[in-house]
Amino acid sequence: MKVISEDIERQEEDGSIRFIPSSARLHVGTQDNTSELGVAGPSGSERQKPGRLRKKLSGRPFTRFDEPPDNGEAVAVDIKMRWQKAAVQARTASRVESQDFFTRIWPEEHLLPTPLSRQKTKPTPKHSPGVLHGKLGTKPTAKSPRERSDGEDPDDDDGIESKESEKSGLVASQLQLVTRTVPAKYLSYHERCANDEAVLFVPSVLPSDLHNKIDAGTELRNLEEEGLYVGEKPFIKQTNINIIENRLLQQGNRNWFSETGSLDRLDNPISDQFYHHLPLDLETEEEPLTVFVRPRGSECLQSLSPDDGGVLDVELSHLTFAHHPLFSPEHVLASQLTQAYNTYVERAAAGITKILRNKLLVLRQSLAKLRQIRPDSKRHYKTVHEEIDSTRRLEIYRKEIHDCYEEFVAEAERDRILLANILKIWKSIKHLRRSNKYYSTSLKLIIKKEDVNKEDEEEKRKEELEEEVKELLEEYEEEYTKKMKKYERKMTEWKAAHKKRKEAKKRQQQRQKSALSENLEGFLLQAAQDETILSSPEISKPQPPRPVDKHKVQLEVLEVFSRTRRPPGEPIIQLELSQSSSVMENNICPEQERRRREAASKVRVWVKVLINNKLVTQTPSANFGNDFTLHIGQTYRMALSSWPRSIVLQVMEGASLRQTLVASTFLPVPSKTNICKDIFDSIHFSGNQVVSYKHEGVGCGLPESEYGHHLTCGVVHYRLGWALGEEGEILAPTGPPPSTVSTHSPLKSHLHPRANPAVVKKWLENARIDPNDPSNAALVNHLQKAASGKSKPTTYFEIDSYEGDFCTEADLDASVRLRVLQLRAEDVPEFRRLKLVPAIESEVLRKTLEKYENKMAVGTETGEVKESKSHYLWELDERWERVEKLLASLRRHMLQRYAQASSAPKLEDLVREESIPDIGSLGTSLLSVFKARRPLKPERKKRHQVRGVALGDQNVQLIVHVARAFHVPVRCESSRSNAVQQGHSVDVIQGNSLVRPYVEATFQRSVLRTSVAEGPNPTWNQQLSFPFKAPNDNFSPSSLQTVTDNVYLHLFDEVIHDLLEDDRLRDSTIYHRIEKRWLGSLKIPFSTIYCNAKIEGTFSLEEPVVLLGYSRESPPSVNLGISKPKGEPNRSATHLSIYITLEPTLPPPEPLKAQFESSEPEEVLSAGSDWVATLSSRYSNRNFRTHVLDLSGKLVCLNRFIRPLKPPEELIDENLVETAHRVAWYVSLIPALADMTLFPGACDIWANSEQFLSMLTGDEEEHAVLLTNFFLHLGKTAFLLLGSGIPEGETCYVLTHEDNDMWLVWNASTAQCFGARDAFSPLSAVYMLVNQDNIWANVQKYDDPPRVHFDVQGSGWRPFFSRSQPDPGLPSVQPQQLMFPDVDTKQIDQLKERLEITLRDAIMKWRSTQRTPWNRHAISVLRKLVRGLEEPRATGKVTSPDLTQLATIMTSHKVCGVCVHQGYSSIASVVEAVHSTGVHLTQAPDTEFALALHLKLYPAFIISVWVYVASLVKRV
Amino acid sequence: MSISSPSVFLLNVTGQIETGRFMGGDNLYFNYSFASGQDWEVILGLEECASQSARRSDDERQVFVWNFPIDITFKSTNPFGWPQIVICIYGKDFFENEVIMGYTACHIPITPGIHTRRLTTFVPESASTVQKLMSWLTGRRPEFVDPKLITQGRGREVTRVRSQGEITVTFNVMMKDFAKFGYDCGATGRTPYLAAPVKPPPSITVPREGQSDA
Repeated sequence: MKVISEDIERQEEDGSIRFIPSSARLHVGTQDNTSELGVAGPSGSERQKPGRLRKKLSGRPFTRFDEPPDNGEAVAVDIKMRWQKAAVQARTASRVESQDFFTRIWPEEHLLPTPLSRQKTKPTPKHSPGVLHGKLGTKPTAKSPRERSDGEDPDDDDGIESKESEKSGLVASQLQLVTRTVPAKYLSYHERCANDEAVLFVPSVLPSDLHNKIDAGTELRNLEEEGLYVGEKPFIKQTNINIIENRLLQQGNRNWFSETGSLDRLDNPISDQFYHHLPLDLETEEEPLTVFVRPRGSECLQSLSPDDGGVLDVELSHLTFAHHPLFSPEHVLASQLTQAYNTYVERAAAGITKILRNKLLVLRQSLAKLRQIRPDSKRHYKTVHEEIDSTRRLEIYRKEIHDCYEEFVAEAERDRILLANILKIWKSIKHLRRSNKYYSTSLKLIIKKEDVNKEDEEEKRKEELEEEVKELLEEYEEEYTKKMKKYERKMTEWKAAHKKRKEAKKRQQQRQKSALSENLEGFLLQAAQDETILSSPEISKPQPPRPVDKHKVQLEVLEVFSRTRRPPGEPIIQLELSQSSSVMENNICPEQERRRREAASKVRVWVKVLINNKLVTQTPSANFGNDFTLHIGQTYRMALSSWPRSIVLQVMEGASLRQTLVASTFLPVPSKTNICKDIFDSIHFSGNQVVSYKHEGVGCGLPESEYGHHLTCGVVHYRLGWALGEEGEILAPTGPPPSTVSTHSPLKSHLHPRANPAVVKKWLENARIDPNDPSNAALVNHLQKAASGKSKPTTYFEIDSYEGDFCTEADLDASVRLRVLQLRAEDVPEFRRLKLVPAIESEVLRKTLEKYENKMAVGTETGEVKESKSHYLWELDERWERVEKLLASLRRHMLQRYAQASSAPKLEDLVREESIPDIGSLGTSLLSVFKARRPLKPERKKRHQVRGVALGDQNVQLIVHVARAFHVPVRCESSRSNAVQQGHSVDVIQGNSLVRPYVEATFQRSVLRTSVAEGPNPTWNQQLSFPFKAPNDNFSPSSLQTVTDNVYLHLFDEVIHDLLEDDRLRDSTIYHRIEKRWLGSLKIPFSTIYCNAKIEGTFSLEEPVVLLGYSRESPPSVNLGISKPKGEPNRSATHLSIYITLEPTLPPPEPLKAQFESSEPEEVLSAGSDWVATLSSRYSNRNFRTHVLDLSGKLVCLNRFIRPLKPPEELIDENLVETAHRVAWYVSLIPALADMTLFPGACDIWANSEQFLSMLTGDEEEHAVLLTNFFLHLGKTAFLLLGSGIPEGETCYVLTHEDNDMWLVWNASTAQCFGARDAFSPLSAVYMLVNQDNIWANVQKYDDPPRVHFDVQGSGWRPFFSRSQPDPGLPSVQPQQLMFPDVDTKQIDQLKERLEITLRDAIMKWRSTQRTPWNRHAISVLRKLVRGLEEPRATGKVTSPDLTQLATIMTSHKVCGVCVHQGYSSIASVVEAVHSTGVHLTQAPDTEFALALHLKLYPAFIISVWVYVASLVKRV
Repeated sequence: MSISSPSVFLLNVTGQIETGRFMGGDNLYFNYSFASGQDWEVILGLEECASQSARRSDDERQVFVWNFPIDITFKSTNPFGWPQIVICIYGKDFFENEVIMGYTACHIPITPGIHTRRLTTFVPESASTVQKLMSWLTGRRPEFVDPKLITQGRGREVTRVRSQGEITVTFNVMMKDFAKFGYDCGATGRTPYLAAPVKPPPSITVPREGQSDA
């Protein structure tokens, strides 16, 4: 049953019918079983004992293909068993065994399926599945031949029959076998257990008996005790080892065990460390995914059309090694001999010695001639001139003879040495050949001797000797006479001096004897002279020159002769080198030499030609013969597209597969006109390998070996030149040849152009430069010349001028384009964003550059003006301009100074990463889970800051949230009109409210407004968002700091006039005119928003001084229960609650962390930083500092800015309160400018008061410092208050202590003053107080002014200077007193006139669609009015302006007017202020306008400007 | 700007971002962009592009194959700020989070012809071990604020990176009008020289005077 079911399974699995006969199945099962058995470890003995399956198997009937049952089956099974077992063993055994398994030769004869069996299996037609199904189990099924061939057993024959093979009876019987049904057989559990026990083996986990493991005869060893090294075995659990051991023992294999009685195991092969070998060239490691196939180059030469290329011919003739590692010692000598011989031949051909000798002869003759003429022919000279000439000629001859002689001697000596050298080498060759008893070179030196007559020679020699001696003697004698003359001259001098001396001595002695003398004066004079004579040192007696020693001269000449001349009687030797002697046959040579020759014959040499370091061609490789010369004799023609930079020959060498680069050498690039010459050039090459051989070859580069210390070197003979075209033209590349390659030679920088060659050589030896490098060619050539001594070395060495620059500095400046590029690189604002700077000079926009350059020129001018301190005398108009330029230059200066410190980017700028959670935030975030949810109390989420470049394309928005306003003035006109003229009330639509305010915000020229709210305390809760445009789209902090835009918030009252005349139409028609009336405005600089990230709070609005037609609703005095101090102004301004921020948040500028220099003592600085650090750690939200930067960029202690300074005389009054207000008013008139825009990056720069007054611009700090200083002078107790204000953020105020124990806070930039306990004060926090003596930090619990105690002596303030840290007493940075120059009032009048005209024109221009008539009467009235405004404001008195004058106009007109006031800075700012009032916007017909101006001049050019603008509409 | 004489030179780059090799991660995709100086302008082609996501090959090479084409043409007046390709490779990590697998950048080859560049990539390291752990857990690895940062040297000293994988890019570069402005990029574009054995063909074309490449 089992068999059948298996058959079916098969079918189901594959879908296709596949029938494996049960016998085969069984067999497979047997295999499986045996493999299991194998694991269990069937020993040989067990195999004989057949198991249950085996029984079945053996019970299988045999086919005719089977071997006889007794051996065939057993063997087949045995083979399988063996494999199985081996595999199992391999699996379980350690590495060694597994290796052993694969390497062992199994001695089995393989029992292969015989060809017979293959023949007999014939292809049979396949049965259809249906048929098969039907006959399944009973009918014979066939296996396809393919399957059969897949069948795993050769003896698993199934002899499937087809209809044809049915004839065979055997097959028929087999049929029966295959499909035989076996009844199910039950085996009892015990039986099965017994069977299992017989078959299976379960290895024990207990350690096996030691005696089983080793042979009985051998002794148990302990290697470790014997002192042998026992490595660490890989760790295997002991139980596993036991199992393995037991299993192996069960199999009866003892050879697994070592003598120690344990398993023979290898050491741990695994290294502790691990390495990862990175493939050096990843490309070669794997096959590339895309293969680049080079274009075929067969037709390329034609298709190339070398319009600017050239054709280069390189002809290589032959290559000779001067030294090669395979040289035998004889070869080395032979090579030396050849070289020496070549030199010899060269010299002989040149015949230098002979030439020199002849020259000498001629010179001597002519000299003799000259001498002949000379002695007796003095009269022949016609003139003295001629005589001198002849003398000079004589001198020249002599000198030339001398030089020539020297040269001749040197050359002749060289000849002799060379000759001797050649002979010596030849001798040693001969010696070597004799001792070796074989020849390995064919060199033979033939020495031809020419016998000479010794006597003749000797005579001749004597003559020569004599002549030369004579000549030399003459020379020496002449020298002697010269010297003699000199000596004589000196001698006479000496004698005279000596004589004088003697006389003087004598006189002195006389004087000493007779002290008296008649002529005292002369005597004294004499004595003094003698004194000097005697005191002067005695001149040593000159030595006479030695006379010429003839004998010595003779000896000298003889010595020279022996060195340079052939001794008499020595035969004249002619040398001839030939290759005539025969090289000994290989078999005669000893072993060593034979091996060398074999090696030499194997070596193949070829030459590669590289152009621009790319292989162009190579010669066929060939053996060098015995003479180590490679004959090439080939011309290579190459088409080049451009000038070659380098032509390199590489000498390659290789035996069989290996190839090595022996040496490479550079060929000079031929010049444009070079064609192939007739003569071959030769070029040396030398390699740098070190080779040594065991055989006779000498090797190379071996310093200690006798013959092998040379490096491989040799000579290549070549010709190089441009090919000739058909018409004989030279095919050189067109275009200029590249400049010499040697522009970057290291020599250039090191060597002086006229360096001494000796020095150069020495340097060269030290520098080890590559002589083959073409860049050094000139130098090497020069040195070779100098070294060989062939030519007279030039005394200097020329080096090309450096050619590395693209252009000169002058070119750079002259080119507009390059200049623009430079400026752009320097980040000059005008050029920063320039794109696609034209490549052609003429297209560059010159205008921008010219404009910039003009500006720069002005800038430098200003600098000069600044130096001369004449700015007080500037024209009014120019003043502001000049100040701006001054600031610009200051800013530039600062920028340069701190550029480096501020530009270093932070990690957060570059990498975006989750910030690390600290314990606090982790805790709160965890706790927040448990916190009660309060959905009605939303919390503000902290916004992420967006940094750096990511902002690039985002649109940043400025969000202004306008919440509400308080104390908006209401129209009093309406109430009056109600009361007085009921009839006219029709034209003003009245709701319940008396005012309809709305807020209009302006930022960067875009205007947004809120809706209209009602009443004096309106609520809008509206959000206005402006797109923010950064300058040049650059959102980096440095550029954002320069944004000078302001956010203007204007509060307007919307007045709606009903123009509908006919009441009957009221139901169906609306005809309104809307008017807006300015009620106040607020200006917030962008820099404040940027610095503080957000602005939130209630701000008082800057209101028009006189608001016609409006009044406050509620009396302000009831505001707070505090009694109003005297002199405190009316604090009833309109307030606006707003929230302004940027979305997304821009990163605020980082404070400079650079170390600033300071002139203060180190301990004060460090104490300051300590003080700040300790305070900041406790009061993290308060900002403390002790030092700030002054304009020169130095740190200055705060208290040094405070010093009592006298305010201008005009402001001082008897009334102290009034004076204080006047002074504050004066200070507030100085225009304000935020620090940040002034000095980007360096936020906290304070100017002293003098600088402040000269610049006439500054921020709150400067204002406050100046005011404090004035107050101190006035005798007030005043402090500089550092704190936080609205809307400025970090700011400075002035704190004064009044008589009635009140503390007043002054805002120096607005001249406002309020009590410290005022709830609406713009001061929101107090951090520090400063006066001239000390700095105090607020260490109280609260920092909001109403709750702060201002008594600095109290415990709430911590002083900076204390007993432990005393004030070093440094002088104040403020001047002794301020100068307030007088002002020409004429200029003020001019300015006023100009301003008035400008403003009128401006208003008319703004109202371009309507006529703008001016009401003269109103103007004159307003002028009077506006004039009266200054005084009360300045003194701080609250007086309502006198409106009686206006009343007359008001009766006839409806007047809507606004008065604007500001400290004068420029006309433009005044115009801007008038524009912002919006008076001109009225659309009422027949509107008339009035404009009045008042300028009040204060000392130091501080001008208060009042402008009254009004629109008048005639009442009907 | 007259039409007859060119006022700019052109650089055409085609090619492929072929393969990548990365440890870990699967389903990798990349986006590339070109960064160039102020004097450069793209006149045709995609300046930024994201690829399909690719899976690791099953063979032993274990590569990611994208074969993503590049085709872009620049015009310029000034070789300063030569364009660079910036490639950022992203993939899924063990927790199926999308993480950065590598950044790399290289200049477009400055000579015409076919160039293959094997660019090793790197990723920024976490600033601290805790952050590393955090980023591994949350799957938000540190990334560059702007991938184009890696084309500049400025500010790189504050970052720490780890190399991770490599990517193979093939460029085919063509140039126009470089020589007219005096820039020599080997701009003839020809194989510079060819060697032929000694016998030159009888009709060898000979460079003549007066011929120029115009």
